[in-house]
Amino acid sequence: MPLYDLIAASAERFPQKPALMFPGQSISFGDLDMQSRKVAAHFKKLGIGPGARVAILHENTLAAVVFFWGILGSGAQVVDVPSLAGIETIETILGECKPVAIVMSAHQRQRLMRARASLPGIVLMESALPESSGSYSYHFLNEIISAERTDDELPRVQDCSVALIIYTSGSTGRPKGVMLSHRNLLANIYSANSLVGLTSDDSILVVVPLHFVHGRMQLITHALLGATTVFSRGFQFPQEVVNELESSRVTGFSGTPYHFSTLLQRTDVATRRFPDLRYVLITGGAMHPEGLLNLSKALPGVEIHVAYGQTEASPRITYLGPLEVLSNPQSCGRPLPGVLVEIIGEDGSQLVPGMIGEIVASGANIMCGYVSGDEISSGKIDSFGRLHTGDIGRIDHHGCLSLLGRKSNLIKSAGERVFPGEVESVLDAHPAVRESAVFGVPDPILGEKIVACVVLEPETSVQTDALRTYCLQFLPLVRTPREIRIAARLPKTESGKIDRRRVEEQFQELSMAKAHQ
Amino acid sequence: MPIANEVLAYIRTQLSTDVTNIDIDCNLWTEGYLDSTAILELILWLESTFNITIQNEDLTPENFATVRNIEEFVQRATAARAGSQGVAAGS
Repeated sequence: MPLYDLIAASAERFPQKPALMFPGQSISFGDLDMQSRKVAAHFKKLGIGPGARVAILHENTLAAVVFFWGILGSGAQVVDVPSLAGIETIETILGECKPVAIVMSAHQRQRLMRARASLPGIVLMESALPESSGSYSYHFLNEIISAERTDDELPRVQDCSVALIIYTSGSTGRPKGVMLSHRNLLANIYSANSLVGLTSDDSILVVVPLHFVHGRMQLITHALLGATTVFSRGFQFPQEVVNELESSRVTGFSGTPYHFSTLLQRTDVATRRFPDLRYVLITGGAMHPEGLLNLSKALPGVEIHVAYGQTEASPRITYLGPLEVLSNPQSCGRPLPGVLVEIIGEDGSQLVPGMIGEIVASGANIMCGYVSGDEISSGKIDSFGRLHTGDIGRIDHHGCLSLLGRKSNLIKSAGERVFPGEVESVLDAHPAVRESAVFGVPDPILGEKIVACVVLEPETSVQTDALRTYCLQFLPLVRTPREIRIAARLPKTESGKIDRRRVEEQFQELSMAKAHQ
Repeated sequence: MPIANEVLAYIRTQLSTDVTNIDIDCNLWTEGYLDSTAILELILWLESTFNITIQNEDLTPENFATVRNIEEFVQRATAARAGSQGVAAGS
């Protein structure tokens, strides 16, 4: 079934019910379906349909969601471009995906135009701008809605065709475009919801940007249910989010450990009561057991659910229900129905319960592949079609999975996957930097804080603040080192490579010595 | 506007190099210039630079949406600190 059918079905069942609520703006399922069909009809006129790609580079707004469903209704593929990505990354993504059109906010358009970035020829925006002219063909949502007719005959696409391309961090520093089919996403939604048990009476407050798979899944899940999705003003003012949780009367809230740690530490959430809030879902990393306990005390009577996964798995792989979360806080749960999880050793053999190895997963939720086409050569997908997560774990005798580490040096900061190589390649390109080592150190709110140790070229000098400014030209803040230290040299392995573990140890020792001073 | 200039310089060099063209009344958050983790860094920097304490309840759009809001908040916080020190010194 194509994903668009979810909106069509909910529009039939609940035409008047709010589908989306933004601050000061909302739309019913009936109107969302009607507007999205008009967008799809417009795409058809532009020759955009199955097989074509349309990028979305937009903050969370109602217009951006209408375009999202309109693209899917047209049969085309959505390419989600991270809205805070640097110009170079955006150009890399657009260059690789080659979308025929792009949906953009006025702010994104302004910064891309200023940087003279190369864009697809067709630009779609919410409303006209006085200066929108030049070599691009502009199309505006308000004009599309007033001019187009509802096209009842939406093109049918195969379940296995790509619906959504989401970019995630790549180990080499180049972002990886994860291609997820209609079937991948629906399989994961049905499977996860058979355990979480949401209904059309539920509603959710969304705080994450929609270009994250986690954000998209909240949107698609609630479209399936005919349930309302409420959008927060954003997570920058956590106390406001607590107020929104109360005033919007949502039944659910989903976030990463970063979101929950921030709410616990920077708001009065523990002293407030949310009579309508029924559940919270923690995804995107393991929460510290003490944090879980604090969360359960702060939200008495609210169910805590935990899910583990990654974008390549659409994204959920395992799930732990509220009855077990507190009694088994080290665990991230059992495989979702239809998902097979195995632990494999260095030689690829399957390990028995209790043994530690790499977590591999298979099922209908595993991605179609990367846009770059290297999912097999990179070892991410093996000859059995299994996804190698890169996470190290163990399955206990009750079938519960625990995460114990990572095969790679991946850093998880504020819910973002950051590979050190991506940050090091930026630092190493600075004329004053000879070499660098980037790693994560534990942080009470971010989960891990990105730290860099750099060695400078002889007879050069540069302030660490200036290095950070330099990084920000290429990386969004969340991927930029929070702390940069200049070192005389970096410890090396026998083969001459930077010994990341020893660099980390030295950093920790220095930090501890500093703390004791 | 020395405080506003200092805040702008900090944001432009330490939080986002994308904000070169913004003015002090531009909303830093709804326009998508800064991500949610920026507020944590911004408050740490404001606390250490202006020797003020920022409470959780101070973290509102009214105080932090624009550079002008931030400047006014810092002015109020430093005035309150000076007032409380004056009271302490006088007592």
